[in-house]
Amino acid sequence: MRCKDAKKRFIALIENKLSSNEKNRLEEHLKVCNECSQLFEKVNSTWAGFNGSEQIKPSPYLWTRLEQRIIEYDEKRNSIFDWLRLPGRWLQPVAAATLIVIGIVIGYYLGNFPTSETEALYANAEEREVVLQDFFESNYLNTFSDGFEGSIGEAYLSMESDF
Amino acid sequence: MEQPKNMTDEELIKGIAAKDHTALKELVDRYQFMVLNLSNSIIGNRDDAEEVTQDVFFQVYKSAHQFRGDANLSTWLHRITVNKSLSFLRNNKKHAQTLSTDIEYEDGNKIEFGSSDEYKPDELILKNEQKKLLNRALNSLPDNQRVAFVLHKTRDLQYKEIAKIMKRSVSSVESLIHRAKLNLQKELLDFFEKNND
Ligand SMILES: [Zn+2]
Repeated sequence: MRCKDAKKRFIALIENKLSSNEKNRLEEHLKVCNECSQLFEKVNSTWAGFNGSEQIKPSPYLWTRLEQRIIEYDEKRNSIFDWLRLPGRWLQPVAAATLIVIGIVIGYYLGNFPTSETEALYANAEEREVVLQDFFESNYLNTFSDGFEGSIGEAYLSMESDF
Repeated sequence: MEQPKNMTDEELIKGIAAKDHTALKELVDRYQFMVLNLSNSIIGNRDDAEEVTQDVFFQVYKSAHQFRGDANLSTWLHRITVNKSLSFLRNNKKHAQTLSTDIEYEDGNKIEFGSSDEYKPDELILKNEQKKLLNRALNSLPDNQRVAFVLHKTRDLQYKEIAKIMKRSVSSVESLIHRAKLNLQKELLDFFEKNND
């Protein structure tokens, strides 16, 4: 076996994925080739780091911070509800018209989303959320799901996610 | 009402959808370790992974009412974590590049090495060098190879489960992991051949 071919099979050897024939040939090579056997030892011990991956512990403040954030979110959410109720029914047609316009814009955004293989992974909730949030933050509105039911206020509030 | 501790995942999600904070807290207790460590494996930085973990549970709070009972909660959480971690990297590209060549290790190290009487500085340095190298190699992979590999190797998930999380076929996950391993092998070989002492 040549050095070049031996090196290509290091991980396969480590993970026990070689046929017995290939395994024997590689092991024979490692016995006689000093360069490859030294290299193999380094790769082998480094690769082992993936197995005993460090497990980190969550910060004790994680919940406190998160709770603060959801309290603020709930307050903001309720204030939008109040705002919608406040001026009375005349606002509802205006709000409905606004929603339709926003819907068209979202449709436009989604229609233009990347579809290549690499992008496919993000071309869902995550990426859309960033774009839409940036877009709506200036209007003090949040994204909403398609086909909302109930009051118009609820339509302002639902967050979209992909699952 | 039942104690959150005794509730099933599904019941917790219903509680969260009804804006029950104690249900969310219980869900956080159950899954924060998984979310944090997965994110840390993808991003390679503890503080950033903490931030992403918070974002993941915030997202759960906001969208729990949309969760469908037929989907698996763990799959859903894995997916949100992957997506949030990747988008964090994309939004902080500059940041991530500096990190990939110079990753800092904080107090977390002591946990890993157990009690202080076993504490061996040489070993610690070696471990840190090794981790830096692994992180750098991982960072060199395209996102989908890295995600598939991390889910497989550090989360120890079946290909079938990874396929669900990534919304891909099992065979494409297999191929991603295979390519990831070849690329990582090449990175490590290049590194050791260049730094031959
Ligand atoms: Zn050789």
